Amino acid sequence: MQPYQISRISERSYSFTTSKDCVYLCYFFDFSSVFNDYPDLVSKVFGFNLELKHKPTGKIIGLDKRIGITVATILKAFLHEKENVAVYVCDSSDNHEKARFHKFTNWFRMYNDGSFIQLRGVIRAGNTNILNAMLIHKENKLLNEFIEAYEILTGIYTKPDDDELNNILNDPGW
Amino acid sequence: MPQVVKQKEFHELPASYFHEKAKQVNGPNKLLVMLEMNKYIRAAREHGLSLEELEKAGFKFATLPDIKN
Repeated sequence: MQPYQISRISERSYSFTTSKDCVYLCYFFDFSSVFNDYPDLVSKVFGFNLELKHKPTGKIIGLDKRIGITVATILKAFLHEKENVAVYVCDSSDNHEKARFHKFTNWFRMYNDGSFIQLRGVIRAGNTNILNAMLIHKENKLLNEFIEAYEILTGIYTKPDDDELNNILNDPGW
Repeated sequence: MPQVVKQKEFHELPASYFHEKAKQVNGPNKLLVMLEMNKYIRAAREHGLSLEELEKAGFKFATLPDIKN
């Protein structure tokens, strides 16, 4: 299966048109505020957005598997330089976040040649679960730092503060 | 009587609003602020704002590499 023709319409965005005349726009926005406690990582984190810019009226769109491979191609090109990482956060306001998350993470899994890692997380906010994923090249020089930061930020584990860490390090019985 | 359809109002915000908000919270809450920022960007786009106009409001976007099709 071939991806759709991808056009870089500006320095900031890509566009592709499907066989059903749907036009999509993709861009990566600054996500640095999440990582502002990590000076080495802060400038390398971007959120990913896929916008449906145009949908023909009166046409049944149906399932289009070529969209998945096209989006995966864009993400792989973005991560290829082994510097930046991409974060995908699912909007839960329309209650379709699980389907959207499943679709997105599956696209990436299906078209991953083994060069990329996908970390998935859930943030609990009241009664809502915010699904998110971070995508990173395996050969990214800051791979371990990104994984640790992501796990702390998504609440998978809590980093001990300095006092707690010193107590552990000075505890002969530990 | 004809029905008047009111378009939802859209209040423009600078990027600094979200970055300052993120500074004031920790851990997973930072991601929630970024989710809010993402929703704002999407809403702004739906209201016709271009990426260039968002850049003028302080939002940053990655410079993208060429893709050989």
